[in-house]
Amino acid sequence: MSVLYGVAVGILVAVGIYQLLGRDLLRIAFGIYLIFNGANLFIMTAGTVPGRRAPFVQLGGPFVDPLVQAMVLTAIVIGFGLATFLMMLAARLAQTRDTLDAERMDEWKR
Amino acid sequence: MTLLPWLLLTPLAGLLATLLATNRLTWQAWIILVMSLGSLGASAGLYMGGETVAIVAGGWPVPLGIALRADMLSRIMLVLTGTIFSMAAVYHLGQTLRGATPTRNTVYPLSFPLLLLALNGIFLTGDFFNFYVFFELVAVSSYLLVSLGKHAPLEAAWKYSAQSVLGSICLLIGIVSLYGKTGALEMIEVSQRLGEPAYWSAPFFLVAFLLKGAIFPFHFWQPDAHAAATTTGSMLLAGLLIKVGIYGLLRFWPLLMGGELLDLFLVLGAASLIFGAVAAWNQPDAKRMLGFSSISQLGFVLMAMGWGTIGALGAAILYLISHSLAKALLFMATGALSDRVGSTRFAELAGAGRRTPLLSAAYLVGAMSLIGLPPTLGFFAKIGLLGEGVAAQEWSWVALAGLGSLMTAGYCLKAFQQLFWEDGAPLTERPTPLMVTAVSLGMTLVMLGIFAGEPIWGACTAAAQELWPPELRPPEFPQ
Repeated sequence: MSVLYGVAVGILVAVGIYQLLGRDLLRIAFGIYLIFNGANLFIMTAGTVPGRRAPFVQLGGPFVDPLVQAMVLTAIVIGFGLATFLMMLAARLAQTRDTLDAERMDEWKR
Repeated sequence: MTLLPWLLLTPLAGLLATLLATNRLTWQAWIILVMSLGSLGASAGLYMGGETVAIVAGGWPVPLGIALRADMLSRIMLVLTGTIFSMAAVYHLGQTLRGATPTRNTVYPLSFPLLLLALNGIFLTGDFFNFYVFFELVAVSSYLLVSLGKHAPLEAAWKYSAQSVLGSICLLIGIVSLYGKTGALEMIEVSQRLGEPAYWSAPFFLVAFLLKGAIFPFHFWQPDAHAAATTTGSMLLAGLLIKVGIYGLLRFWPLLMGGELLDLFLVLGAASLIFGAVAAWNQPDAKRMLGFSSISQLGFVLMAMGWGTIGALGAAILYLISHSLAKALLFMATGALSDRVGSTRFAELAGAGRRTPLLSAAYLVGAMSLIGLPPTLGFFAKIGLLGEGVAAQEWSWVALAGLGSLMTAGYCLKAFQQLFWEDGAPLTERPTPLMVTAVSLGMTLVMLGIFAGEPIWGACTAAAQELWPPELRPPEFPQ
């Protein structure tokens, strides 16, 4: 199970970094979001033990660590908010500069 | 009843009041000022209390409840936060009363209480995950300061946000890997359960904090963000925000790594010092120049961390304080000129300050503190820092630090000459009373060295001693 998680984290982060290396701002924003979700999945692996149940009292039995689930929930919300902010910035830049290409936005640089 | 919760409740109340006063810019500016003074008062009271205060929010047992702890370093940083925020709030009020707010955006005033809440929280928390949450809150509220200025290039905001989010992800991964290893989130408990240097998670912490502190290989966002932010925004960014990164390193490196790999800080610090100084010399833009100067100055702090003795850590904390105050003052003086002229470039600001003796005195005092001339606080910081280097007999590093100081003098005086001596169209507008208040407050603080240099230095050394719990020190470590 944890091997599966590891592979999934690896794929998410690798795809995210590949997107980051491009020049398109929207792709960079999505790449960052993918890396963030890779990190979230990584948090899950820190608390998931095979054979244990989700922490609902009704289910009974040995639970996985509920603190990790609380943390990952916080992290997901934060990541979602930040990704939204980045995409909004990219959209605003696209409106005012008429392009999403990072190379062509460096004209303001002094 | 301890004062500690008020440090979080005051900004929360301020946030609510600012929200309720939406579209009434003057009211909001007054609310921000009262809130900053309240936070300053609470933190001063906490500091005077003289002992480490700890509470657990909500009264739950520790793994569920969140520990808030104010030890010496936290208390020093909280007082610094209140001070710089009050300065910025006075300047903001002055701008608002003049009818020259940097933006009409209704979200902009909200970023002040949010940032104060986040900074107070980050300096108080004793819990790793809570630290991460406040770290994000600091980042988000500062995105607003950078992206909402009237002429702010959104590219700068983009650059800052994107890099800062990557840093936050690194911090998250570092914290979670620590939790996976130790099963604890409370800072002291984690370091007790570790038992060995945390080589697997320290790099993540390092990258996150170097990005936030804008140290040399991770500095790309910082000069642009400083130039794009409003004047108050730049004061807060340079005075407090980049200090969060250094605070994180000071706080976590001893807990996680003990005295391991300190040479890394020497190399990073020296590179940052020289690179920042060279870049600052070449800047045609007054605010970008100050941004690169911050990169250079924080190099000194990292080098002091690299020497690693208690005295050197104390000098690093003292340097942090003196740099915050001096840089806030410099940004205020530059901003007072550039807000009226409408440009931050030296070419258009040339000679703008020839008829404003107050601003030129402020700039000179700030520059003296950066260079390290008596009687400013910067003098004590630099003496302490170089003294520790000499005591450690690290001659080549001391020589580099001396070179860095000389270069600091070079670019500061060059900028002073361009702003206040050159022929050009001088500003004739008289400064408002509030501007006089803000600038004199800043000058007084930077000149603290005259009568409070020694006590502040003592407090910083005490903070450094608490930073490194004796049971974690390696045996060969100088006690």
